[in-house]
Amino acid sequence: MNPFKTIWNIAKRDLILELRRKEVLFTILGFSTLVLSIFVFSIDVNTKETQKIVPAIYWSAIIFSFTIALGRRFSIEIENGAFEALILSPISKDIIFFGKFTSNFILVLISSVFALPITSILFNINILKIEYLLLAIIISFGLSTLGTFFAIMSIKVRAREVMLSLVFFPAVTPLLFAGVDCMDKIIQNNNFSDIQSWIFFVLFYDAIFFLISLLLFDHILQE
Amino acid sequence: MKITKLNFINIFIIFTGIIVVIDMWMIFVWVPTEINQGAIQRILYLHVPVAWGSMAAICIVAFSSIMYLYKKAEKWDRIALSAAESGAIFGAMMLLSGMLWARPVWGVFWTGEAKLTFSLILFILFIAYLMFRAYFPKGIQQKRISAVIGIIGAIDTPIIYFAANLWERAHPPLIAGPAATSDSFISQNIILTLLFSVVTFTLVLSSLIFLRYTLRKNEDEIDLIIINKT
Amino acid sequence: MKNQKNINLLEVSQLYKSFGNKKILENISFEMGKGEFVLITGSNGSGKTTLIRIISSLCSHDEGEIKIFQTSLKKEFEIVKSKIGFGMHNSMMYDDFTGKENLEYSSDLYGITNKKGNLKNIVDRFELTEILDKKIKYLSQGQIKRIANAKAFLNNPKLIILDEPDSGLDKQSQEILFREIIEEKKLGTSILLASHRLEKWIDIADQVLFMKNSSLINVTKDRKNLIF
Repeated sequence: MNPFKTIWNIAKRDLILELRRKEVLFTILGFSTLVLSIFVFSIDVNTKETQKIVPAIYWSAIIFSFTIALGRRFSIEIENGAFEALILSPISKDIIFFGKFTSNFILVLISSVFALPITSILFNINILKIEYLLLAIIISFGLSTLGTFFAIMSIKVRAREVMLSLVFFPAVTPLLFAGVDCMDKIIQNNNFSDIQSWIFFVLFYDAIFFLISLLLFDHILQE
Repeated sequence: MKITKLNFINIFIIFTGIIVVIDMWMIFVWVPTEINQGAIQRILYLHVPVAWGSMAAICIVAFSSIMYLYKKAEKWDRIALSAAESGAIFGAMMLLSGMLWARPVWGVFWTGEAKLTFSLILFILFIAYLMFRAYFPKGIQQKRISAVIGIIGAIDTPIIYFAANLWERAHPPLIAGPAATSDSFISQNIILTLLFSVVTFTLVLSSLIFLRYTLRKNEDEIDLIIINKT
Repeated sequence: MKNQKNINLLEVSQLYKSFGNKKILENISFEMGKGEFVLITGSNGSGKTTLIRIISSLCSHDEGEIKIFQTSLKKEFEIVKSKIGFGMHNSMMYDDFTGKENLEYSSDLYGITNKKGNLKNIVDRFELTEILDKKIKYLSQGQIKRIANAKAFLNNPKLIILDEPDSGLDKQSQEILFREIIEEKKLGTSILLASHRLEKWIDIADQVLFMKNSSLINVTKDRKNLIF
């Protein structure tokens, strides 16, 4: 069996399912828009000071909506034991992780790209640049790695969604720092060398947690 | 466990108690008051050791978690749990003492400074570990998943610290109190007291872990008795 | 059947399991030969489902050993899994997919080469044509169970593990399931089935494991020897 094909099979099924249910799609698109617009209502948009906190608002919205989406996504996995079917099928655990990771990565990437024009419109700043897209990709990678890992880990726990945020938020704070600071610097039109250290940091973070998640994934699956 | 029984743990705890008394005497009586900050500075003799203790605790959690996943022996899980609980207490003490110190010296309870951000996240990680454990159905999987959280948390902490430092360089704190000017007079007595406090609180942490470990062992034994009876 | 039983397909020895303070399984041992039909029976809460879940590696056990296809459960289970068909207590299907999509997904996961033909074969055997294109969430419990049962036969397994496959099924569907299990048995497939409906399965069972209060109180191959 071609492993890439299997990974894509899992991810494709997840995405079709989300398209059909619309619940998660609304969460990642609607909820982040909602968070952004609440900030528009509560602060004065057109001052210099406000422009400085736009990156923080943007990334908070992404992380909040992604966490809620993760909780919803994995609740359907356990509803009828569909996740158990995956564990029982003759594919290695790594493939399951890759598959779930891919679908989550695509979802969080959609949400962070979708939120860019919304932020631009609501906060009156131009952030439609290619740099943001690249930034969104590397940060979404880290977010979906740990998100997938923790979401599968918390399948059995009581008060699942609270527990998921409790471990997920502290673990991804470095990504939040990186995202906010890089975005801030790009808005101020700084050159690449200013955000270089952050970019390398995020790549390092992505790589290390991807490896750790793969190493430890087997341990969280066994009951 | 009878208190009269003089096993290793009891001797160790009594020894720790004596050291704590000596440490308190050093902090409040022996060491001279620091010139710049006044009496407030004495908080640091508590703050620095508990901060060290909470970091030592997360290392112990990580080490015993790895050992648990590797050896699957109950012992390591108990050590990890004991270290996490003690670490959470130390973390809370670190945050509280830090804020009490910062208010008069920096003028605020909290800033976005790297070490503060880091210690808050460290504390949340301890809480997450304990909450997850408490909310998970009892069994092997609970222990295994706790171990996984312990390992990820411990790997995350230096990364968070590094990120917080990068972050701080980008956003220099607005408030710089006398502590930041670094012209305060550091006498040999102050350093000695600080070092002694660090040793003392390392002992306190170890005693807490020892005590919690025996307690946990007894809990497991009681569980076993209940299982065999039903 | 006895001449076929040269190697043991499934060996369970001295299995113990407890959840928290509650004992679920106590000293369970049995062997299952190739081509055998083994029925696990007992009242609700006697530990049937847990035993099935432990054998399927979905659940860990405290003590004891399990060997499927002569290998230990944890090692190389991926290879072994492709030879087993699972039908568990819950449907293990996505609500928002149709029955057909769920079966196709399973075929993909099992890497079945002749996907369409195989699927059609299974659908015909289990007579699922009219419910296949409806989403699982619009189907009744019995209809879902019928598709879930068919899913266990999808990968042409050497061993089929079924947990309560007859719950919620009407008379006709029960007959279909019964017919297909006998059919599979003729082909030499081993079947491990947990059910509390004794009368139905006991006639074709090679071995009956009767469970009560988390232990096996009777292992027999003869109907007359069953003690209740």
